[in-house]
Amino acid sequence: MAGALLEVNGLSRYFTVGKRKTLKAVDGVSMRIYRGETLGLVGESGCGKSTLGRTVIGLYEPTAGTVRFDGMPVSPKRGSSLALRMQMIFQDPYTSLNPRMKISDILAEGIDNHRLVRSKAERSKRIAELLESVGLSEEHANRYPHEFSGGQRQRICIARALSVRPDFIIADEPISSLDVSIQAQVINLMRDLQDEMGLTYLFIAHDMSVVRCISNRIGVMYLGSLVELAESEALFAKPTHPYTQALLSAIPIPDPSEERGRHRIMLSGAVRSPIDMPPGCRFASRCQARTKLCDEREPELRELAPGHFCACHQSNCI
Amino acid sequence: MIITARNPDMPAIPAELFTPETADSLEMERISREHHSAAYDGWIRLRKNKGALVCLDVLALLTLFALIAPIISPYTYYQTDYMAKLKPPSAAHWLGTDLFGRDLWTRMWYGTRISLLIGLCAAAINIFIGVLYGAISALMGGVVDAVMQRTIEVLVGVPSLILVILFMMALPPGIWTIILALSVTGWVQMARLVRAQILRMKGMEFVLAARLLGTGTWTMIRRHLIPNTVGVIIIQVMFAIPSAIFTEAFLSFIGIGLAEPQASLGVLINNGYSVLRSSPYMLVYPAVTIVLLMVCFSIVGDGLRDAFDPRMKG
Repeated sequence: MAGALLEVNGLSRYFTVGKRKTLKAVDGVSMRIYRGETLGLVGESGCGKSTLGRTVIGLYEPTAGTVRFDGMPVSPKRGSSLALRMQMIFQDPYTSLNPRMKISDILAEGIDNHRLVRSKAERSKRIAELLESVGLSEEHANRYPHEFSGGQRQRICIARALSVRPDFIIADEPISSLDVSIQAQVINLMRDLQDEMGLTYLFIAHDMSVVRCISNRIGVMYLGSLVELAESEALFAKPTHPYTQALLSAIPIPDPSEERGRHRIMLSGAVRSPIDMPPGCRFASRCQARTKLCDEREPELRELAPGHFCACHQSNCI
Repeated sequence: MIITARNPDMPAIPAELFTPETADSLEMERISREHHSAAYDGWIRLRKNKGALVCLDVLALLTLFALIAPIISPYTYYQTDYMAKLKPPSAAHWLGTDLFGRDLWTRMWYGTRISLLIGLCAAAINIFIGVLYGAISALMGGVVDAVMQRTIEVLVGVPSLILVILFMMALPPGIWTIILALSVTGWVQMARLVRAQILRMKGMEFVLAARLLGTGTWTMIRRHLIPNTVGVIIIQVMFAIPSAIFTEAFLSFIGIGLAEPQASLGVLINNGYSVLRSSPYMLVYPAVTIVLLMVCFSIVGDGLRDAFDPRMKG
């Protein structure tokens, strides 16, 4: 594949909770995102997906590890050239727009900050362009966020992210707070924009079917670390990590006769607390294939087949 | 009758009767509601709150009288007339006279004026200190925030009345001393509120998005943080004013506030209290006025909160 646009190496982000306790929200994640692809990131609530996204883009300072974007290191105090090339779309369209600002000013925030336009006329032309690119029209520019529906707001957020012409967009559960009918609209818009502008996405979600639909590759996270990373189709065809297997078996099939025969792997046991984690595999407490080795040593992410990575002691080959 | 697609009795509808209908994407996105700013929306909600509107009118009326009545009255608030003391209401003295023959109508409105002035000034100083303190505390964070919050806790720990009385004794009596004394502790509530609001907003997604778009600290404060805190501040002010007025009245009533012949609602209540047996009406006027002020400010404050911050409605 072509060169990686984003390289994440051993990235960790810990939070201190109370006295001398650390919560390892993200723990030693390494991955590459290639130009023009969509990497889907899935995992249950609290597994560190959002924290990973925010650390990658520099909203949080990493505890350890590095993030390189197009060869340049990303740090919390980023230079303006990097700021323009990475943007983010957030989960809740109701809190991601300032209620006291007009849509035109919201969209032009990055443009104004970096003086990307020369005149007022050019500014309003650019705002109209942005609104049109997400299926809204110029007349919406003078309205306030509270006048829009959730789906419209999320599209405004997309337009705002696009306003500085980025290469890479992190979408942090951009559709999970929308109605299903609107979800499809937003997903399709994101795909169209990707084709049009050659965008690269890191798409964070917890809905497997949505992730399958938009991603080229999928990464599965469990308690702060990446347990499996593979091409989308390969992952669905041959899930290797026990957690991924359980996750995929939980997806309902939209066909009653097949759905009846679906075998669901029920996980038992409690999720480990990310605070003061014991050594060994993070998933061991819920894993059916657990052995003594799993309690002693944490499995590394290994390449089992070309492009298919898995962190499990038990799955040696596919 | 329920028509299903498989109903055998129904003749099939010929295809040529169908005309394709396309969805007009712009029509779908059209917002038919008239364009309003958030402030105007708030005003619409406030307008529906009849109680708050009436109270707003009462406040306007009281303020108007307090400003005009002492000016157009033929008497001054300190002018004594020992020939006409403790007179009941008459054509010459609309509300009667007090122990020294001073016109109560004039004194009452003058007193209201002073009370309002004290309330407004104390509230203004409270906003100034409170907003600055709260904002700095929230924005700096870390050690600065911790020290500033512990300071507030120490201040809250000392009964504010003791601080106020200490101030009143140390400084020469007068309006400005009272205002100063009321400001010593009054800003704490405002500081806490502003800090909480800014801390809440700092983690909100629109602020994060602005950071990613390269918005600097000062622009962030001006463009995002202040406009979203104004509502909370205004509402807090509406509760701070009556509380300052009440504290002043209390101090004057127990005799450590304003001194004669100055008038404030508290001084008037004190005067009326001393002649309660012979001329009970002297107590009634200032007491009714202070109750009106307190109740109206509270109801208008509640109304504003419900109108401009519907989520806080409890």
